[in-house]
Amino acid sequence: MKPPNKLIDLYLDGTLTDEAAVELNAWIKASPQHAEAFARLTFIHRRIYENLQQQDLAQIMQQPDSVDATLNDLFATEETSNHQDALNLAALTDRVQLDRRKDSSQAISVRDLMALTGYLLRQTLRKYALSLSVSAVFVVAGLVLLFVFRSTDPAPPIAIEDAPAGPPAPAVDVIEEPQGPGEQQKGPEAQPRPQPTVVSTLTAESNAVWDRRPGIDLYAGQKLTLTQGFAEITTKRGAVAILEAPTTVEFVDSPNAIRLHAGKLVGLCETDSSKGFLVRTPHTDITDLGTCFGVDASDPSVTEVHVFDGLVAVASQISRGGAGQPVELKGGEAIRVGADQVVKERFVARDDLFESLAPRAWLALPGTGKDLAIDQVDPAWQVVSVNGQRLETPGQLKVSDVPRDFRDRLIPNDPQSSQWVRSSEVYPQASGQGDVYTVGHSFDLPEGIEPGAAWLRVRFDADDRLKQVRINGKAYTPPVNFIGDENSGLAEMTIPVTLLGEGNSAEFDVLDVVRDGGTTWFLRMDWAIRQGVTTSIGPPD
Amino acid sequence: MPQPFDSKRRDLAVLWTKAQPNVSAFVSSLVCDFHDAEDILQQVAAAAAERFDDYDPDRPFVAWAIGIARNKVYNHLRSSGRDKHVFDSEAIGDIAEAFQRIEPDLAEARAALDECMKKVRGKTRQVLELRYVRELKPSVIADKMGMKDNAVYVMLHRLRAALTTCVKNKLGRSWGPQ
Repeated sequence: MKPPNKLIDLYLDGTLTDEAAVELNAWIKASPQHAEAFARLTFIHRRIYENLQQQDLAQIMQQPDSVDATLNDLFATEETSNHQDALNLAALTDRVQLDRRKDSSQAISVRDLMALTGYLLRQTLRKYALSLSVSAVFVVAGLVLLFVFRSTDPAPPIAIEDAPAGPPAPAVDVIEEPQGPGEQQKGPEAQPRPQPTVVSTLTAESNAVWDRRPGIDLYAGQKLTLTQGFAEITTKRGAVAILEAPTTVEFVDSPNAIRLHAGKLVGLCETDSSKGFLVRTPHTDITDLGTCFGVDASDPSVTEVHVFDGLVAVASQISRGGAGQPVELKGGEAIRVGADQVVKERFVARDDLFESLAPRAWLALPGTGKDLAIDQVDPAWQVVSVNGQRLETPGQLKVSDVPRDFRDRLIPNDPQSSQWVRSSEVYPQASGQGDVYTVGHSFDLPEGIEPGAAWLRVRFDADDRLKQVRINGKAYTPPVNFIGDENSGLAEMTIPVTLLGEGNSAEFDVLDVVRDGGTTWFLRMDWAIRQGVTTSIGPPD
Repeated sequence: MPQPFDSKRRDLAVLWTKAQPNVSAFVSSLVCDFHDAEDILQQVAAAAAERFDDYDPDRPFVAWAIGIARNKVYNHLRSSGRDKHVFDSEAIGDIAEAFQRIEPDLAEARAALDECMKKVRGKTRQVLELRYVRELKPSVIADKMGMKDNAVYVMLHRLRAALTTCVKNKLGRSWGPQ
């Protein structure tokens, strides 16, 4: 029989086989504690859904055109306790009754009200708007209203269908000018506003901090400022823009365009469908014709475009209006356009200005235990210090099965990439009370990666915590992505690094947070590298 | 003497407001499709309103509401056929009773989980959002994220396990499968 929590997970993800379903059914009936365990885990599942829907809705509501204003107002009043919500609701039903008595033609019908309830259940409970209490109010609304009116109007509840989405955005690679305020006004008879259009996706981050935390989907009209770190965005057509803070971007109603208000990005079009990727800065339109290029609009008085590979068309906003022809740039060329939208200078592209922005394919680096058998010593990964004290003789790490205590929640071994390794040595420098072990590794660059700027993607898994990473002596902050508890955790981080061709040093500080005096701990390192942009056009001037 | 109409209505509103999240959790535990679960919740709300005169105020309201929900869920599973292979009526009854027993912990657990969710970031959060916001199947998520199917299953499994542990730690007591 599979572990019960594994069965429950399969059930929750809709992949339980008939045979496993029989097992789960029997397990639940075997003990009241089993049924409780099932209830608790499914409760977690439900609450994850509610929490994320709530976040999603809050984000959508930040879009000025994305949510019906009335609902917005309703949500904005969410500050009350459940009890107060209920009383407010009762007052609402009082008003409804009063309306019915005063003017039946104006009154809200039960049909309308239950339709509202259905709508709110679908839009609000589904989205779980803002907080539990608000959603509860809407359920109560339906419930109480039904209670009030059931004897006078037998009409069954009717669910209002989701507001129809607006016509699909035209598949054109142009950025429409923003509408003036007057054009955005809608009369009282206006239909529900269309759902926001997803135009891009947030595909990677490193130490990213945003002014307003985005979700995966990025919507037309959404404006974001990356205040710290890096972020990678992929348009619907597959073009990639890598942003470096501080940068402000806006997503326009196009599947292959982005507005760069300020800051720096690298654009990459590696597929046919992504060609034509358009970046609009305050001064220029940059159209990627299948290439890799950098745009720097950090200085409001000037926009610089550096082409590392391929071909780019740069049009000043004056030329776009017919006063001039777009300028085409080849790899290694750069251009500077002033605030007056006149080309100021053409010069040799400088990739060093964009060295921290590194769009290239990932190549796997040898991880822990690669190509080794269980219990073999991994000669490439060693314990080099304990609690900051360097070991005269590095400690050994042996290839291990997945730690037994966590077997059902950890990624299994893959000898071709990485495997679990364990340390069982007793170090006099360790106290067994929260020790820090430093695991060291030396590595050469794989074929296809040249020395210089690169990105390193680290996936660290352990029954302990990753505290710090040092690459060639440079320390990197704790992972941007961590899930775990006090005993174990999975960390993922993507970091910009500068690497040598051979003999790069990597050190990982592992905090053994279990203060049980134990000496055995496990980890697994799975990592990959991708090249920076520096190799495209050779050394800078 | 019968209660005034408005008083009963307020009682119902207050009771349901408190019970609704737990009834929702119970329904969702047996009906995996979130939207189906919400439809059933609406049916339970309507039935609770219609039958509120039958409610004995000396009994816990949430137990009474879960009792209604149990029947609604059972009817749904029987009629839809989609989940018919998972739980029989006895198991559904056991789960309903389990929810009644853990009900005192749920409000606190809910707040704890919300705190724990703030720790989930980056790719793992993206996977979680694809699963719970976009409501994609793990295999579709794998395609979208360039991951292997199994890696997505494992990640989801681990996320839930880690969140369960996080909730347990915040509550300072047992939570989830032992």
